[in-house]
Amino acid sequence: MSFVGVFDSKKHTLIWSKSIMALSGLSEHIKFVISDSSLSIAAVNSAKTSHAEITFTNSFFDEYSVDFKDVMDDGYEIDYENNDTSYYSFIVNSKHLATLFRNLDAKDLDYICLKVYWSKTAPVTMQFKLLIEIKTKSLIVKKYQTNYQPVYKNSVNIAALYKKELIDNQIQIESADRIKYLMIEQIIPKQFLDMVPSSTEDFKIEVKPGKTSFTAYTKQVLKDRDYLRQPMSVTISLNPDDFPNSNFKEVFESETDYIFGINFRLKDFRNFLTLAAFITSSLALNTSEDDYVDIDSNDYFEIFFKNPGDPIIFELKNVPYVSVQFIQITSADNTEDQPVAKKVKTTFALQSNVVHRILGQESQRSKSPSVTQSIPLPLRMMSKSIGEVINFTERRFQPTNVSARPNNNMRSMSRSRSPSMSIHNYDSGEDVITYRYESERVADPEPQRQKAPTTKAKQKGKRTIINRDADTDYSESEEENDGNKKREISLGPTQLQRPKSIFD
Amino acid sequence: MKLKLKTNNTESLKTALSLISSLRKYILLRFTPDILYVISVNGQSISQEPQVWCKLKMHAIFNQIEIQSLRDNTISLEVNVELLLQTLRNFDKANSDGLNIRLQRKESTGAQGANSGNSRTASLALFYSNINVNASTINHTFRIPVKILKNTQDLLLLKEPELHDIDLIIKLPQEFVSTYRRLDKFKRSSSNDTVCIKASRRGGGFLGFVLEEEGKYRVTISWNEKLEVLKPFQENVEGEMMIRTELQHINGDAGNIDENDPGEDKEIVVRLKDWQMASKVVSTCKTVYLLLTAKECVLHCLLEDSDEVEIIYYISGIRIRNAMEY
Repeated sequence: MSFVGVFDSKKHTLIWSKSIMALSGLSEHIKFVISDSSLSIAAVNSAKTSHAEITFTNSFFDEYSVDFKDVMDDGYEIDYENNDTSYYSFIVNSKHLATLFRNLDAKDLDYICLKVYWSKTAPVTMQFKLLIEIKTKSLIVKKYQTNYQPVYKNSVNIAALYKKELIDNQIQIESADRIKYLMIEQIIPKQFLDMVPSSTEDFKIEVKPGKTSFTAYTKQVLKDRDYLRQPMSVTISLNPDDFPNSNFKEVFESETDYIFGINFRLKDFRNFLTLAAFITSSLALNTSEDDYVDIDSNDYFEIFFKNPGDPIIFELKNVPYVSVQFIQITSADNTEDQPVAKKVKTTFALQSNVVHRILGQESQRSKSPSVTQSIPLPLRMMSKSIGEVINFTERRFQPTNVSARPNNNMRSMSRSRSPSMSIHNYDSGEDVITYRYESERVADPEPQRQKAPTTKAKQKGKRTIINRDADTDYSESEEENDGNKKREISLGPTQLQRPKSIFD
Repeated sequence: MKLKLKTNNTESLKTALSLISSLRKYILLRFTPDILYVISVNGQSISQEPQVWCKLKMHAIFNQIEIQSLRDNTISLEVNVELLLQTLRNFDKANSDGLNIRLQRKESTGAQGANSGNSRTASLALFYSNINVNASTINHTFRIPVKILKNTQDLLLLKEPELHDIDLIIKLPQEFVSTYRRLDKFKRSSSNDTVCIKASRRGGGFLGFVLEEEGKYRVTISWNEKLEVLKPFQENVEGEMMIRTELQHINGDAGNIDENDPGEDKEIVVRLKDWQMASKVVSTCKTVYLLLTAKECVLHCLLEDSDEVEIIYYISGIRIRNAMEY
């Protein structure tokens, strides 16, 4: 067995359920990243303005075992910069998980068990499936399984970048470009949002000398001098000294009349707060059942932000087992004195999930070779800015029918894998980019090597492919020829066409 | 135009608003130096639908009052009642020492559009500060968008109805609200949207509600206990003035009842829905008078025993065709 995670306490079950619900509100897909030390689930919304990630340490689980022996290459990555930590990543349809975990009767549950068989030697029927087993107190065991699609880990490192910038000496940097850091008690925004009508859409943080204010409002719509839409705006303001920690004083001390404003959508922030409040309250009670715990006044979370247009990070870290991180792209408050929000820097851009496939198979389904494209590495696409959606025509994998294809006398590995591949080939949702790694015939492995891998990670990926190619037999020759022709006019060694947007 | 108010007890204003908040989404606030009118009317067909006028003594609610306007220091605003009520509730919960109310030109979004100067849109800012559990002071500001009514036309429509020829004045006891519950049971039947209110001084006072569906049933719900049914002395005093005198010195003509005079019996047909909507008002107010005229019936209530908050609920009668017209 490759991965097993079991948790059975009521609180953990509820935290899990709330986390899944929070993410399923954001996106159609939830990404799981499993490593030896933790399991994290993440989602990014289709507009790529909002990203949420919840990390559960292995101690959150009552039983947690990870075994990367014989792991399939799809979805598997090694982070060489981080002690060679291995990760396995995949995405699951969030609707399926939401239906399953929405109305959990946590009291009645014995345990919830998550399993993934990612070993190459696992039975085909078990591959590419997330297995969920729920045992109730009434001794009924419910088993669910949902298909997943392996993806690149693609972790969002905005938080790390911000924190690094924050630690680095920033005195010489103009205050506008410095990272603003704020630690705030949960109760302040929570009580605040309780007062805000539920239809309110936007949230604004404003910093003035000696005053920090939060405003929830909805942009007005005027018609013929009358309001069509203009709900109430609610503001609270505090003295920065009342925050447990912040660097506003240092950042803004030099400029006395500086007014800084940043705004973003309220909805996801509300989500974050609800989740954070739930997690802290249940875990705080969990750790010290008998002691008097003033959960309302001592729990805080952290906010990092930079400029309008740059992401803002909300982070809850001070609870055991779980950490929550929400990232949102912000915009400028559209007052006169602010210039138009800068374009989001590509380093801070949020990315869609990228399907990770290392393949030795040729597609039989693609009608015309001209629409097939292959991209050497998805990394190439990472620098694409937001809004540029790349659509690669997805080639379907077809269950290999050995008898029907005499020239398919390839290794058994390939045959045994093919059917399972077709399973996880469900329609990729709007926010999933599918990259293909199309292997070439063995006779022509050189171009692959020439791709000059720049990182170790790449090398690793390359190596597996080449190895795989070595024992892959030749598939449809027709297709190959076309592919070769294409390559003559293409841009890169294996790139058949320039990546296209779906709007092309 | 300037409006600056401060209060530390919003209880009566909150109660008055909550009583009428279910009627309509928007209410009108008319601030004058002495009286705050809270008016709920339908802008289009003022005469047909019930309207409510609450009169609150400014000095009883606010301890700092500053009102300036070109129109007799009167400011009229249209405002969403739920938002206002919600804000007052938040203030209540916050345990703060004072609520400030200002009329502000500033747009509540900070987004300055083409409108500024002459627009009728503004916001009513309510703000207070309190100290939270961590002993940090938090200032709260609520900006509710309002429409300033300057148009003379708008204001002309908004005249308190005048009552002529009041036939009967009936003091309703506190328990009277139970008749609303009885009547409520008939609300669902669709054919039954009117109720005939019958009142008389004869027989020690009578007040009954007749619900009838032709050929099916006829139900009379009436108040059995003795009722104080009065007939006003003066017939021709202007409406509002007269009500006030009546309420303060209840000295209607209680004697001289001709038990055989059918002319003592009065009746009026109103929409059941309109009547029922007043149930919250009737159940909450300490003093309730029902006034009947030929064309309308009016519930005149005092929230407390004092006359600091008056709520007047006007229901116009509907004319039903009777057999004579055929």
